[in-house]
Amino acid sequence: MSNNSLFKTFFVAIAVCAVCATLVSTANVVLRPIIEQNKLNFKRGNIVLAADLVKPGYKASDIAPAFEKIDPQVYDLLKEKFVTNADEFNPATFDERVLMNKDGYTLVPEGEVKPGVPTVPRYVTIYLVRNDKGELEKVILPFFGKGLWSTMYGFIALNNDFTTVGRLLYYDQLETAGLGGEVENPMWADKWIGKKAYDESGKAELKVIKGTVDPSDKNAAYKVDGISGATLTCKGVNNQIGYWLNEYRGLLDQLKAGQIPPESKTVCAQATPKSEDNSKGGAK
Amino acid sequence: MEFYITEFIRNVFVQNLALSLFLGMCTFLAVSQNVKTALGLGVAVTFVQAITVPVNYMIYHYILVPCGVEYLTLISFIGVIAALVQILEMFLDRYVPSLYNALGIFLPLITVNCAILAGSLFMVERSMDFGQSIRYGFESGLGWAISISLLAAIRERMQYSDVPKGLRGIGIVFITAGLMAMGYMVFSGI
Amino acid sequence: MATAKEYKEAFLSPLFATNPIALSVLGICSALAVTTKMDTALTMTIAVTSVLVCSNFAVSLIRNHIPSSIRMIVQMVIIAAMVMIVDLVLQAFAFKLSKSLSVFVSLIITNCIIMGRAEAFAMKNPPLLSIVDGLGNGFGYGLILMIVSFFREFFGSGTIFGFEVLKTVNNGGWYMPNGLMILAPSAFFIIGLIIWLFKTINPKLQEGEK
Repeated sequence: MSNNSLFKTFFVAIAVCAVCATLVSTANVVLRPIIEQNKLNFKRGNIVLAADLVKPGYKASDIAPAFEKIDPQVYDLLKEKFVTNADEFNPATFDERVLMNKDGYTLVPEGEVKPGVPTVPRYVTIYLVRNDKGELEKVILPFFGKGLWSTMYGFIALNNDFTTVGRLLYYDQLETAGLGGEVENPMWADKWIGKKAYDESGKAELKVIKGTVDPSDKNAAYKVDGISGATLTCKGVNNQIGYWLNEYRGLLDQLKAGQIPPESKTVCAQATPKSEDNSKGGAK
Repeated sequence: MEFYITEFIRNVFVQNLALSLFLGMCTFLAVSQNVKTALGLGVAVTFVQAITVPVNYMIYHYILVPCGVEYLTLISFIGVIAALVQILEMFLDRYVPSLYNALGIFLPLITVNCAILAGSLFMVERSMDFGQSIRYGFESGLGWAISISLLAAIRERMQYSDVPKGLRGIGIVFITAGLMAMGYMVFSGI
Repeated sequence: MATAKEYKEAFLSPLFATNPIALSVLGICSALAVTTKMDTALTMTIAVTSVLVCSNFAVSLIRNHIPSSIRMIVQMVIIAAMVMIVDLVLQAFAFKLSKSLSVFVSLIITNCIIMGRAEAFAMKNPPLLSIVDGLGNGFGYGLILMIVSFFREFFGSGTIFGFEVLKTVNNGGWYMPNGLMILAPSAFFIIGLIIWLFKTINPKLQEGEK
């Protein structure tokens, strides 16, 4: 039969499509669980790293046991209180990045220092770390904002004096590789450890400076070395940190006063699981 | 206002599809022999880019995501682009013959131009909203058009220069493009 | 039946004599964009080679049955399917690398090397020979990628495959990385110089006055 007959054209077209569709769907069905696990591990890995529960260079198998110690909580930035009703948001799966552009779930940044993005989410997930006695040890706060090119996402962990930085890290950014992209360099991230976020009056003072910090400077605790060749990215970092530290002051005051919400796991156990939260929709 | 201007500069120059993200390189190098064709192709790319990015935005957000089949993104985008180019070609042929005569031969080339596909993929990856995707499509296409026209102009002039033997042809084009990319870096303000 | 010589020819000639990037100027986009680090360049090479081999094989297998009217679209569908599978595999087993490659894995679909080889070689030759041709072109592509990324990573960040060779200032050493190597222009320069080198070694390839 001629290759160009109508029948054969249709037959080949349909056969090729069928074979390819089968292959792709099979690959998707087989690999999807692994990919989802990878995505989850990536996010949780950064949280446990910020909490110092694992060391840099951790293995994927370390993440799950370490994450057991983390207590995710959804916090309402507008009303400045925790969302304790797990029916509304399930802290275990809540992802503020999915709601970032949704009407009714956003706030317009105000104040002197702005994060460089038009809106920020009204609800964010913060992570509490408790010690064996159930006392609060660390609090991990998400923050993000514009760098030079891209929106940069990071976590800042504060110790239980609510001003000493436990660790700061960026986990998602598209700054110039090798220059601004160095914010992901663990060597630079280490420089934040032990710095102070707020001064005595409670003002957010932490910032990246140009060049290296002079250790004899009396304000050295509020300053972090800049990255050479990445002045504008560092400026973005300062805006983000300045804005978010300011925004989280209410939250930290509550924690300081001992108003610590109950562990979300116990609350969630009673709540009915809800399907329309944000586990879907490509939390990228 | 300032937000839009920064965005414009970024999309057109700093994140120039051709010279900083290396997209649409094959056509970029092959069709930059003279300014007139380069300009024609540039206009065609801008045109198609400005249409495909928003259309793909709608396909992605109103069909693929609700159905939970994001893994089909790639094939749908390719299909949409091929179909749109085809429709555009027929539409121009029928209603705007003058434009068709000017752009006609370039339109099929565009289907295999990775700048177009990349535009749509970036739209997804950078989670743009609808307005942004319209602006991005137009601005990134414009950036590509400007680059290819400039390169073609330089190549026209270069015919009279004495280039080392081994470097003649495609070699010197790479070096030129590199120098142009350096020029574009000025906009990034590092 | 293809002889051993033909196999050798199909494998070796794309490495130097008809190198897809340097001489046929195909598949440039990805060659430039993913070469800031050697590990991403290697991943990209593996991805492209496997797509190329599979698509060459598949196209060649059904080459006598493809109606000419839908030839292109059949090739496109095969390539697209391969790319999607490779993309999924990368996301599943090399998550961090696939994140840093971002859209460039998907862009293999429009990589002209793959389409070009399917059209120029696999449509006319038996499956085994097409596989070898795919391997040869994949390695030829990879060769250039590795050379470019070696220079860019070595001078740009002082590392090779992420291992520190020159201790950089940011990490408390002495080497001040050459930031330009990481940015776009250097990729153009390096490929330009490689082409120059290829053509000087093999003067037959030089182009006359244009």
